[in-house]
Amino acid sequence: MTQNENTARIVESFEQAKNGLPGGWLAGARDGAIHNFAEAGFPTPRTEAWKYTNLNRLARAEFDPLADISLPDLNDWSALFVEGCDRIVIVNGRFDAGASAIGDLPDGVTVSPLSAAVEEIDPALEKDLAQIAPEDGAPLVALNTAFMRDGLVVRVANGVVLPRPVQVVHIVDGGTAAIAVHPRTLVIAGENSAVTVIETFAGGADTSYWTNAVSEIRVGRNASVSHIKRQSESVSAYHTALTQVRLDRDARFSSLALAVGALLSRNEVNVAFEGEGAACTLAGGALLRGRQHADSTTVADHGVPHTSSSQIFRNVLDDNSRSVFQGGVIVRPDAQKTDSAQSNRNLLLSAGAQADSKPELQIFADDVKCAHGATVGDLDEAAMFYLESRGIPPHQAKSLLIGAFVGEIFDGMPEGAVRAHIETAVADWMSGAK
Amino acid sequence: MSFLSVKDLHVSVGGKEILRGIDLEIGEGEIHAVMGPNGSGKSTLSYVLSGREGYDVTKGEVSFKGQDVLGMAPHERAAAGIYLAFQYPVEIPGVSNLTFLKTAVNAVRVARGEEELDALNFLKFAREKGNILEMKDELLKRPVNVGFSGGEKKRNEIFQMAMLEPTLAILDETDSGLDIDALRIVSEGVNKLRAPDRSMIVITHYQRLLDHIVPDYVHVLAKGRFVASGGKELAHELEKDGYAKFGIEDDASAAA
Repeated sequence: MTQNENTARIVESFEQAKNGLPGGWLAGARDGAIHNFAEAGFPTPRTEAWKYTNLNRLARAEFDPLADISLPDLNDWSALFVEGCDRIVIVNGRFDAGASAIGDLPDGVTVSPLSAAVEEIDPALEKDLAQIAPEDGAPLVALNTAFMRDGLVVRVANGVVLPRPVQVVHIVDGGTAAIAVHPRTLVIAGENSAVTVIETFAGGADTSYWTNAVSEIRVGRNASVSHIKRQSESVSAYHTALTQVRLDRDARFSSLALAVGALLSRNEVNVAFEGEGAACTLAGGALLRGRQHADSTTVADHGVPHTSSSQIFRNVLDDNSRSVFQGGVIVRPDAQKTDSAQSNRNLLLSAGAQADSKPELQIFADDVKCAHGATVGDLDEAAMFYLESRGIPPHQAKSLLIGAFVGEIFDGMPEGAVRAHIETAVADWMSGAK
Repeated sequence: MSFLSVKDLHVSVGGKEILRGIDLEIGEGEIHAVMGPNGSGKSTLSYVLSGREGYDVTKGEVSFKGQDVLGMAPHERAAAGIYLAFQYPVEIPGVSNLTFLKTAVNAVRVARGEEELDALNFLKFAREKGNILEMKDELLKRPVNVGFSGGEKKRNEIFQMAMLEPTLAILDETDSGLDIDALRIVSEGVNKLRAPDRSMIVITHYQRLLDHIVPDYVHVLAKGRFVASGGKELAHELEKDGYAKFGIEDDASAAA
């Protein structure tokens, strides 16, 4: 199929799907979004931002948002539920009330599946949903807006610190029909509030699917949001995701995104600094093997003075896998005193593996600090011998070194269930399991 | 019976012959010093005994307690009781000294058919051994050798030796780069680990170390061969007359 035919097929399926999508008030936005997607089509490597990640096979794969697949046994997936969280579970793109669990929440806090949240007309929701993440130059965001059915909405009133993290678990499993899911997360943190949101993605090995996720996060004045993402999709799945963050004055945002799953994945995190004194830390990376491909793309867009961003990305690549890091930093003319730093290191465990690293710094102000560095290397022979000479067998020595390497992205994270959720993904990868 | 037996050992590195026929017999509990100028093959000897890659044995054999050492992987040699204290201990960021040691001690215990130590017993064991080397708790928590001073690194090597309880310890220039206080702590640590069933090869450039760790035998290594062997008095001769007596030129002046 040609690019146009792929796009036309998707537009046609939108016409069939649209009356069944939640939130009547969103109809106009959905129509506009599918129009934007149809105009732009799938991103191609001709666009600089997609130079190293080719969606051609994904576009041709005819994933269908309306594909009907049966429900999986959730017991198989309960290990993904982080203890001590309020939890929303989305199965095959739809909210699963039975597996979800929301405890008592402080006044002024909403934790809700998207499908329920959009059924009420809510001016606050209208102001932010599909407004934080722009569709310009982002056809997959537009596609998500057109088809979004479920996901997570978190709103935290001014001054409220959420006592527990919120986790949204996305599971796709239970059939062979090629399903596309377009989940959406919206997090609105009011002034002086604090919240931790965990997004977990997983799927059955026999299920062929595409997850196209969008997360919109608005961090109010002096508020703090921590965003943790574990991408453990089936290794035959596709995963494309964009997180758009907007930071108000003195807001703080930290993100940790670890990818161990999907045949092809792209995780894009864009942070717009809209108030002075705001700061963000973006951490992430991938552990890959076989023919997996994982792309981490970031943009820290410093638009105002006195803001800081740091980026740390680590990839571990075995077999014929490939990683991409595109680390964007924009310092606009008014953004004096910007302090930004970026580090990307890649560990190649096999001669067939490949890492592409592209720092992309656009600096239009003169009184700024912008550091960046990238390395590609293999396991340190001296370190391996040192460990082995102490009686540690080679496979265990390798695990220790890989664990230490990738552990730099969650260094400093407190011990507990949330950290364990990430560490488990690393440990599972090392043992070769799912 | 010989504990360690090295026979006509020839070793090449990158096609260049470094050891050119080493013979060495070490009995149980004996301490042998190997002295020699820079480039004589001292470190090559320590690496080939501990199994580092890139050191090609072209001739000869090494047996330890009757086992063929050259056929064993490095971790198997460690389990069999061979321990190398590195001249340049390797820094391993992101792995704490405690995690590293717990993994090593338990790997060796399992290989020796002993039970693994649980977290509590391991910590007790580590504290007990740490006291011998005056190791601060803080050094145990830090990543392996990262940010350690030269003396702390060498102390850490001997601390690991105390934890792994080898029967053959090879100390590769454990004294170099140490000031006199650090040397005292390290060599006192080594002396506390002397045991009737533990042999040691003490490789050094300087006689100074042998005032603290008194050897039973001294061997002089030059250009890949032992050119002299004798009792501990041989070290004093070297101290007095330098390597020149053995027809060896040493730019670095061994008698320093």
